[in-house]
Amino acid sequence: MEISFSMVAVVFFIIALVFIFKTINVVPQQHALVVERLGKYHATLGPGLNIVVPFIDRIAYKHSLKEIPLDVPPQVCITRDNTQLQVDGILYFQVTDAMRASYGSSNYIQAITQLAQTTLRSVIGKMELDKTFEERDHINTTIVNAIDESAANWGVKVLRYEIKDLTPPAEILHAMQRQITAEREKRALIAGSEGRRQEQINIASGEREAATLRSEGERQAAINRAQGEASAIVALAEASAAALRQVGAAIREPGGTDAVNLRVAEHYVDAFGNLAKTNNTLIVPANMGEMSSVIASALQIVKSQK
Amino acid sequence: MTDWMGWLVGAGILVIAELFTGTFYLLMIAIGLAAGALAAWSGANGSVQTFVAAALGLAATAILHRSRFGRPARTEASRDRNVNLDIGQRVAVAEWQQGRARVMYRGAPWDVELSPGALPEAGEFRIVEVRGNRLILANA
Repeated sequence: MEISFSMVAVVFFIIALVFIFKTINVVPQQHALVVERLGKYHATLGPGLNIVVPFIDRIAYKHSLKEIPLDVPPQVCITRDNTQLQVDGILYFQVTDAMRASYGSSNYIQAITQLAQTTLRSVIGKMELDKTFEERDHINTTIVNAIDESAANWGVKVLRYEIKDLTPPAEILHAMQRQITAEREKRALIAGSEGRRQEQINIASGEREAATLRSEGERQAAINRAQGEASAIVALAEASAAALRQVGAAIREPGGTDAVNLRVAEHYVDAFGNLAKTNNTLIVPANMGEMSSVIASALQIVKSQK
Repeated sequence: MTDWMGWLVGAGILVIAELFTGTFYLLMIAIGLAAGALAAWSGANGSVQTFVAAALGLAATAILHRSRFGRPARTEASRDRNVNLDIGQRVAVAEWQQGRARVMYRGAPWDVELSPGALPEAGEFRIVEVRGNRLILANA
């Protein structure tokens, strides 16, 4: 009797332990437990201390309500222009409704992954290769929208789909690289020729400006010289006129005529003297009497001066 | 080592384990073991001690269930901000089409629906429920 009572006590103790284990559940923040009561959905346990009734209640599903990044396996898609393209993406999703996530789909992760892949193939199939590189945002949005429509009852929300890599075949990649190299070389050549053209224009323009300025300078110099010469001629003429006026005035004075005659005679004699020096030709006056008369008159002047 | 010491050592170990894990049920079991220690100290035999430990553990759990800590949430999970952090957040809706719209929220496009009694006008709305992947909105 003692043994059986102690056995009962031990069994009771073990049952109590299991009961306590199964009854008390502390749910962490951003987690949810789905409780079934006798096989039927009963409640979603939120964060905090939760007590379930053992035997009739069962924790059927546990969900994390955090945003989850899900790596979608790489897949080969065919573009509109029949090019194979390997696309690698990542999906960000979150369980928004624990009850629907439990009962809406047998495997929501597989469901959204497969749907993302099939939608991606469909979207890429409508685009040409060059467009796929430009239209990433459009591809991402289309996939999110498509999954959203289907996943209304799966209790999950796909927040983002991001394409990690778009890898065309090696031959296409080489062709693209050649194309971009040629494009850049073309741009470089055009830029070089543009530079040379601009250089020639600049040089010609500079030369034109220099020539213009030079001719302007020469013109100004010629004008200045002419004006200078004109001023000099005018000044000389004025000086000659003044000198002649003075000579005239001097002639009108008493003895002026005789002084003029003397000066003329001196010049005459000097001129003859010079002719004799410079030429080996003997110059004889046509009228020798003239010479003597000149000398006589010169002497007469000298005498009258005494 | 006497019986009551054994019970108390067990209770102490469980309390330490509880501090590390935060499961809460270990605390209830520790209360049961402490009750076993009391029974041993008062001179009860081993079977009675075990019975008392089990009964007090269950009683502590029942008391916890009756307390405000063990009371289940009054609100539905789909409307509980503790379950879904989006509840209570604000969303701007530019245009409604038969009580539905597609809006940008948290950097992603979401389907939104008007809650009963809400007016379908452009402006700010408050998230009152998350149903599947749809946000149910009420006028802010």
